[in-house]
Amino acid sequence: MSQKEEKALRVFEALNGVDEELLLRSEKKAEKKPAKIFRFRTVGRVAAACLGFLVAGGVFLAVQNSQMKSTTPMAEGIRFSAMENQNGRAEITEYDSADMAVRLETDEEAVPEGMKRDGADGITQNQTVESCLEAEVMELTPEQAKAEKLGAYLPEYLPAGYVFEDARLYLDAVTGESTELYECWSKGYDDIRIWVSRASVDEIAFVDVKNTASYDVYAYEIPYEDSVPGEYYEAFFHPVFRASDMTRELIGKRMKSVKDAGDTTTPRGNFAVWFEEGILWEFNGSADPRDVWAMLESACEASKNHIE
Amino acid sequence: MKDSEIIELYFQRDERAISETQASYGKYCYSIAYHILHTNEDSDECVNDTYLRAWNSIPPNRPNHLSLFLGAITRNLSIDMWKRKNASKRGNGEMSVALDELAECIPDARSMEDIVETKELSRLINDFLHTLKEKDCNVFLRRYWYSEEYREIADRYQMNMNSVKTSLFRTRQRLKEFLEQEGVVI
Repeated sequence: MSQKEEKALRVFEALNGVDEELLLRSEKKAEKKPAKIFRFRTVGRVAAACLGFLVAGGVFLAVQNSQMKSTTPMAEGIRFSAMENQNGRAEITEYDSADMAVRLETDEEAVPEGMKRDGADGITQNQTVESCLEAEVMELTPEQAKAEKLGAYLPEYLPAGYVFEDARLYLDAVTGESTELYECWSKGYDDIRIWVSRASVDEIAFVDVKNTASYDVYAYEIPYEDSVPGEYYEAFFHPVFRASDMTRELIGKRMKSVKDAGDTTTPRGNFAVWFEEGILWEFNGSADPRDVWAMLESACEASKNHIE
Repeated sequence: MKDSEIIELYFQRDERAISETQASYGKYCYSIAYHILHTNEDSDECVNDTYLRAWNSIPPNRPNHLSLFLGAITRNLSIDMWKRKNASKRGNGEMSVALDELAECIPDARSMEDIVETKELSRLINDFLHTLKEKDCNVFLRRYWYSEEYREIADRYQMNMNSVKTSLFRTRQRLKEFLEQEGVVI
């Protein structure tokens, strides 16, 4: 064990003294959120509402200003003094005219009719952008998953007997762009899980397909942790292949039937495939390798049509 | 059976305490061991040793949370076994990956005399964890206390994988800065 690993192990061991409350807190699973839709159009509505307030406020100020100009001498006009508060932020601390008090609260009258939204699918006026940004994941139906842009890479072909389990869409909290799509199907104790995500080429360490020793599950005994050489660890446990390298035989080398107590003997395995348009297609599950190949072929079909 | 009832069995030296512990927390302990050791046999051995340790330490101890009490024992035993079996090897399993990641938190060494004691290191890390946002703290603990894989953490907290990786990366950087500020040498 290297000195660095020994030191890391000290940190790892020191974690045993973590407060129980923190560990208990980490036990909680996040509740599956219902589709709390966060789309650009949603943020757009919030932004439009904010813009509306600003425009309405600007118009209001301009009208008031012009009214004062016509009725009040300049010397008695508006006198603002901006002072730095303790946080260094400028604040309006004085104003001569009570009419000039700008209310920051939502003013029902000031909001254009078209921007008032309320109810389940709308944006309430008190809803903040932050509350929208909390949304990170959406539960989807199979149809919704397929309709997503990344859904083009979900398999058209599904092996006999497998049924839909769940699907989720992960969203970038800032842009609202979909970043990852997940779908799972199961058949008894067997399941197939597919992830489709965006990934640029510089994020990926590709497996050298010629070096079968780095990824062939038949070359090693279980537990793999004891039999696979350390230098192959990443390639063996989390291999990413280029789409152009994929063959039915290669998938066969990643899937193996294992006799475990309490589990099925259906071949199981995992691998990921990267498409040049920046799409990563990940498989993890148990199925006949021929079926997995057929599933991948439909993703290849989507790749030919190249989604943006 | 409730925790308090199981603990009462331990205090009465009733051997049903073991079977009830196994029924309630066997899977939980096994999961902790397996995430570190990645073999069924070794994990089973650690879990069985956990029951024995619990039997020997309750009483006098009366845990507030039996699950965490057992989990900590299992984790310690699993780390010890991992050290025995892997001291001479490199790159074995998820545990090695987790350790490689944790190595990023280690401040640059100064003199050997300054090396912080494990108890003090534990206290400092605890203090640090309390400064984190709840989500970042949870993710960190699932990765480095429970040795869970990114995917499991992402599933637990309904996050995507990149968010998990980013959260861990930032927390490791912060931990390193924190330990450096505290003048810690590991």
